[in-house]
Amino acid sequence: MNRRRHSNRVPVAALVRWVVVAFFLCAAGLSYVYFKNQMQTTGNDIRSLEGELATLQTEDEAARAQIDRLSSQNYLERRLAEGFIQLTPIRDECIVRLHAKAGTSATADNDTELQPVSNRITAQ
Amino acid sequence: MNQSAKVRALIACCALASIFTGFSARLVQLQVTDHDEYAAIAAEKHVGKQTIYARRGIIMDINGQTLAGNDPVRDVIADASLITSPADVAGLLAQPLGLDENDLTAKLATGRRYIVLKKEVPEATAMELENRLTVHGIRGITFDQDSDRVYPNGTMACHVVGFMNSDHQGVQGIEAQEDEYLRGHEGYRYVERDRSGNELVAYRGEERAPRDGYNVRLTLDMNLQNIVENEIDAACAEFKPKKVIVIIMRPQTGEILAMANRPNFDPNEVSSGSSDYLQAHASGMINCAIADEMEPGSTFKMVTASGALNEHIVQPDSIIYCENGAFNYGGRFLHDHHPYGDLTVDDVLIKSSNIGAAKLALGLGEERLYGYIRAFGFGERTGVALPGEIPGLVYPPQRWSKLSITRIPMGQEVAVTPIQTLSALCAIANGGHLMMPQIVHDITDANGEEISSFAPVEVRRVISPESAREMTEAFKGVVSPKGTAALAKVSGFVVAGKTGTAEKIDPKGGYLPGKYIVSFCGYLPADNPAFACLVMLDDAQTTPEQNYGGMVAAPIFSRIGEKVARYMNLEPQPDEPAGDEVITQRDHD
Repeated sequence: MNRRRHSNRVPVAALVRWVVVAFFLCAAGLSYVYFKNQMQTTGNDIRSLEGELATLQTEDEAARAQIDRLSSQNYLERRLAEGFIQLTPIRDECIVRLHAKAGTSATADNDTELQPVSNRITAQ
Repeated sequence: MNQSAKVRALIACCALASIFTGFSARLVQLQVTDHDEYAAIAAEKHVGKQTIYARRGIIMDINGQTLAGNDPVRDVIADASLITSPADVAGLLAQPLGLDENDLTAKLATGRRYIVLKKEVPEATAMELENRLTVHGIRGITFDQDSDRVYPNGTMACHVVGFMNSDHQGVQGIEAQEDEYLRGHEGYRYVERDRSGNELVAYRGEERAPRDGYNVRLTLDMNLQNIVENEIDAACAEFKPKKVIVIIMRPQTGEILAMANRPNFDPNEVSSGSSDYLQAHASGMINCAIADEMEPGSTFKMVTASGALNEHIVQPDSIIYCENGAFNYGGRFLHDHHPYGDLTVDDVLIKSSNIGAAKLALGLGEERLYGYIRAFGFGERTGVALPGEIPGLVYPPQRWSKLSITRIPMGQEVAVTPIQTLSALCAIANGGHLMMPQIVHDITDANGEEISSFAPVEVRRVISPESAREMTEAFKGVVSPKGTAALAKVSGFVVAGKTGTAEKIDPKGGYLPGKYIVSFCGYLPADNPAFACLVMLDDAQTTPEQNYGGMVAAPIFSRIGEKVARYMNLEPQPDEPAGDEVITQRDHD
C-alpha cells in the first residue's frame, strides 16, 4: 500500500499569494468606499461653501444698493433740507482767484514762482 | 448517486439555469436594449438643469455714481404638502410679510405644492424669516433668490436711464438701448439629486458659468443734472408750462452732460408695475428732448445766417434792408416784431429780424438753404444712443410753397427736435463740426475691464471755422443789452446764444392763439465754449408781454449757466462795460 509522503504540508506560497490578493482586493474595496465617501463629503463642503459665497455676494449686493441709495443726490438733498447735513455756500469773497501773468499759465509748472492772487475778478 | 437523485439534480440545475438565464435576459433588456429609455426616466427624476442667473449690469454717470442698480430680494414659496400645521406657519410669516394671517392659513391648508406667498421680499427680512423657520424646525417654505432693479436717484434723469418691465427687460432709455450689454448671459448646470432632493455635488454634469451684465457709464454728470433738475422745478413752479426741456452738451465732443424733461416719472414706481401710476404718468415717459418735434422759431435763423456767411453771400457787416417791419413777398406780408430799416447781418440775428432772415435765405436760394438745413442735421436722427428718437420733418424744395423760402428761415414749416437744435448750435460753437450727440461713455465688465468705449464722432463739417467765428460774434450780441437775450447773461462770462419764440401748431391746422414754445440755446465762454445749453418751455403761463424766449428761457439759462460754470471751475473773465447803446424797449425774437 502506497503512503502519501508530505501529506500535511501547508502550501505557504499559494496561501501567501491568496492572502496578498485578498488584501489588495480588500484594500481596493475599502479605498473605493473611502474615496467615494470623501467625494461625497467634499461635495457637501463645496455645496455649503457655494451657499456661503452666494450669501456673501447677496449681502455685498444689498450693502452696495444701500450705499447707492444713501449717496444718491436725492437722498443727500433730502438730508440737507432736513438739516442733517450742514453745508454753507462759499461766499464770493472767500474765493481766491489766481491771476496768471501775461504769457504764463495760471497753473504754472514752476511751484516756486509767485503768482498774484485776489478774491476779486480782475483783468488778466 | 442513484438514478432518481441524478434526475432531481438535473432538474434543479435546469431550473436554476433557467432562473438565472431569465434574470440575465432581464438585465440585458434593462441595461442594453431599453437602456436609453430607463436612463431618461432616471435622469428626469433625479437630474435637472439648474439655471444660474446673471446679475444685470449697472448704469452709472461719468463719476461712477449709480443711476440704476440691483437690490437682492427673495420670493417666498411654500410647498403646503410638507406643512403639517398651517396655522402655526401662518402665524410666523404673516406679520413680517405683511399678509393677512387668515388668508395665509387658508392658502397653506390647500396642500398645493407650489404657492407663491410673496414676491420681492427684502433680503434682510427673508434671512430673518429663514432663521426663524430653522429654529422652529418648519419645512416647506423656501426663499428663491431674485433681484429688484432700483433707481437711487428716483425721477432724476429718468428719461435717459429708462426703466424695465416685470419680465426684467429694458423698456425705455438706456435700459432698453443697452439691454443686450446690461442683461448678461445666464449660466446653467446639470445637477443630480438624491431622494430627499439634496444635490449630489459629486455627480454634477455639464456646467456653464453665467456672464454678468456689463456696466454702462454715461456721459451724464449727476451734479450738472441736479443743477438742471432744480432749475426746471423752479421754472415749473413759476411758469407752469406743459413741458420743459433742458439739455447740456459739450460742443467739442457732443457729450450730453445733462438732459432733463418735465413732465417726468419715477422709474422705481414704473418697475414695480403699478398700473395706476403707469396710466397717470404715461405722457411723462416720453423723452421730449429726442422724441418731440416742434417748429423751432427764431433759433432756426442760425442755419440761414450760417449758410449765407459760409457761402460768402454776405459779410457780418453787410447791410440788409428790413423794409421797416413789413415785407411783401409772394403776395403775403412778413412782419418783424419792431420795424427796422437797415440792419447788418449781425443785427439781423441780434434783433432777430424775420425779414432780415428771409432776405438772407432769398440770397442763398432754396437748394442751398435746404442743403444747409440738412447739413446741420435737421430732418435726420442725430444718432444719439437713446431709443425712440425721431428725425423731425424737413420737406425738400420740390414740396415748398412760394412762401416757404421766407418762412423756413424763421423756423416755420419745419419740425425739429430739441437735441437737433442743440447739436446744430454746438456745430457753430466748436468751429463748424457737427458732432454726434453721445450719451454712453464706455461699457465695462464686472471687473472694470473696458469692453467698449465711444470716441467723439464727427458727422460732417458744416461751415468753415471763419463762418463759425462770425456767427459766434453775432450770437454774443444777442446776449448783450441790445440783443433779445440780455437776461441770459452770466456774470463773469461772455455768452453766445439765440432766442426762439414759436407759435404752437394747432393739430386742427394753423396756430394756437396765445400759445408759444419759447427757447434759448447758448454756450459759454463764447470763444472757447465749455458747454452749450438749450432751455425750452412749452406753453409757459405768463403775460403775453413776457412770453418770449428772451424773457422766460434766457433767465433760466443764466441761472443754470452760472452754476454750471462754477461747478466746472471755469475762470471768470472781467465784465465788459455796457455798450453805449441803451435800449428803452426790449426787443423780442
